[in-house]
Amino acid sequence: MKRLFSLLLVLLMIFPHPIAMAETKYSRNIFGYFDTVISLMGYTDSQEEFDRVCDEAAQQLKYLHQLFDGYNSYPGLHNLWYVNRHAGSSPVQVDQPFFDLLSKAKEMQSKPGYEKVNIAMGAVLVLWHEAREEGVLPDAKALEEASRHTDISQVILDEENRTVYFADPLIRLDLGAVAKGYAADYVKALLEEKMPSFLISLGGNVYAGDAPLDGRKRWGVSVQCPDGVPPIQFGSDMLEVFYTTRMSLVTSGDYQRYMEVDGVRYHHIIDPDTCMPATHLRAVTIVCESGFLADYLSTLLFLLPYEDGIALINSIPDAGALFVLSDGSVTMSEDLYPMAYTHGAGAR
Amino acid sequence: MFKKKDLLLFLLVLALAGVLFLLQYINAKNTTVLGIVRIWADGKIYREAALGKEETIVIRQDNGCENVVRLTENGFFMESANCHNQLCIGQGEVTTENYPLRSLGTHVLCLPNRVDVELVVENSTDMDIPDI
Repeated sequence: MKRLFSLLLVLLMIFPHPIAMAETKYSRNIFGYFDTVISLMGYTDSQEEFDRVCDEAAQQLKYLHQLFDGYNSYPGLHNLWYVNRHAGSSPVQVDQPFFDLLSKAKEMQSKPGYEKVNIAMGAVLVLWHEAREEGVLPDAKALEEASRHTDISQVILDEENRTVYFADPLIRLDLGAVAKGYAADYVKALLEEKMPSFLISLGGNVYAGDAPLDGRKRWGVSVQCPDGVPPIQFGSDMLEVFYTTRMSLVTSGDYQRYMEVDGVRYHHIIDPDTCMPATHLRAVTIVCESGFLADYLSTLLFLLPYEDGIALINSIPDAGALFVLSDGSVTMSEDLYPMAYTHGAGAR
Repeated sequence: MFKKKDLLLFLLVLALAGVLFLLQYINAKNTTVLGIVRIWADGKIYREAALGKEETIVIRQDNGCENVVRLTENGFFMESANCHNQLCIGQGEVTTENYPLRSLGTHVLCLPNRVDVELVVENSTDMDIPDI
């Protein structure tokens, strides 16, 4: 009996067991999707396991990228490109994630104060996109004409048949304000199951999962400093670091995608009421659980005057915002103090 | 109750535990490397180079993309690239000292050419360095 017990003890020690195994942080950068680099990191027992989870996540991201791609077509896929070309003549049946995203965005836009984020603004945004490629300002008349075809109520969603139809055939959808946040939420389900301690970043769209498994209690997520704004420390390009778990962080700013004409900067976040880039803020970062909401709100708050933005974010429970105003001053909602480096927070 | 043989077995088990622990410890030590530059091109490791001496590495891909990385004494920077936006050049130098201050951390990224250059550093004792 004793001998058997001893043998068992020895066996227990020889075979690696899950509790005793130290997990390591692995990371991978994925190129080619959503016009940005996607960083995925997490704690697993082995490189092989991490690679497996990564490959699976990359498959999902590839699918979503193709679904929300407005510039290319893929055989057999009713994606954004396809919908924009065909939904004006007859209803187009789309995959569930595509329909979900349109429904969520349309519903959000119907709330008072949330109107300025409009996924039906593609006709205007495409003119700005072309203008940035060519380095000249879009024609004012063309912008005005395009803005007449941006009424979201003309986008007809049929839940039963999962179809999209444009009652105004000149409507074009642009999902740039919501697609990455939605995509982060979508892959989150897989990652939570296969690698709960993870962090994913799609450009400026971050979701931090369960705590890192190296003794830290929280992930550290940096926010990039807009040019001309003082960083947290000399020699750095970081504006702030937030320490958190199970939270989305999304930044919208004027310093990543823009063009300069006659010394004036024209960035990519366009106010639907003026058809011009919004100038209230340099940047805004939203912190809340839902990636879709964080993505939506970061664009919305960028389009609103600071006073309206801070009032709106304070009306939403468990959501906070960091603002860089047009004069370069930095301020954040008080909810974020416990996570912020500049207010003494750390990873422990 | 306890016989001599039991005690012997007990000690043997203890010794084995000690050896296993030591092995694991040594193994863990070996996995942290200091001063390697890892170059990724289109999702695959293109080359790894040790820090220490100055060197110029040309990353030439089949699709015509070309990036030139300059290794310095304790880091690296992107010297030139045939990409359209040249953002990788603007990302400056990564060194063993400055990476905790950079929002891109240990990386220099060239998105159009799908090139990712990384300074592989020993796990820092400073837990507050951001992950991203």
